[in-house]
Amino acid sequence: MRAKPGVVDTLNRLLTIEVTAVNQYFLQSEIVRNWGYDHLADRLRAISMGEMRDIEELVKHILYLEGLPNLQRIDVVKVGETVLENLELDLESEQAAIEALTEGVNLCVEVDDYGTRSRLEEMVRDEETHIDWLETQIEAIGQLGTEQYLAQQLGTGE
Amino acid sequence: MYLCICHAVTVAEVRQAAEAGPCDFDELVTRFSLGDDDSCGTCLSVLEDLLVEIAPGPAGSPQGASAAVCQRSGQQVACAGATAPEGTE
Repeated sequence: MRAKPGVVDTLNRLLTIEVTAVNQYFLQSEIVRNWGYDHLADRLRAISMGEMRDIEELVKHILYLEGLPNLQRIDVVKVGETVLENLELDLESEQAAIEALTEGVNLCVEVDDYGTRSRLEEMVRDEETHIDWLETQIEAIGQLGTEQYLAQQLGTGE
Repeated sequence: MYLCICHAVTVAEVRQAAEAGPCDFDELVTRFSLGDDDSCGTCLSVLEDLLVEIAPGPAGSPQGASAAVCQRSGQQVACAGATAPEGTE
């Protein structure tokens, strides 16, 4: 099916954001696992895999619209030096992702592409759950203190 | 945060070097090997933002008078971080 004007470019922009997110969460996951925080690492890894499924969905949909998925590009991968900094950087990235997804939804409404719109709305819902989780972690660190929070994240190690 | 993952350079390291002044864009790029053949180059936009954050105004801005000078492409901007007296931490 041929895409409506601007839709493939928008989907490719979102693809770049998702590729960046997969790398960012995955690297952070392994860094915090190396620090011993296995529980947090598992959660970050799960989010990374979730973003990978978004990539799959976007690639399939761009091909369906007879476009070429661009997996060449990647934005700045934001990795912090502490757990709190990583969570704050992820929150920043998720907020930017929701903004881009919302712009995508608005474009779809303008050009009457309701199939793409529903897919993007589903992704917005996913990103919102990530934002909610990240805000909860940052709030918990504020309430418990970094040491107490990190003590809860320690795993058995390997 | 890491400014350059390719060479494991942190924002803190580059900020410290820039604030010790003079924080010349090209000099920092050379010193930390930013955007060289072994790196992806996405850090350069982050470095630009960092230098703007450190030295928000053009020459002649309030903190510019006694500051060291940052330069990029011939444009001079004030480097606020360089105004700290020597010996302070």
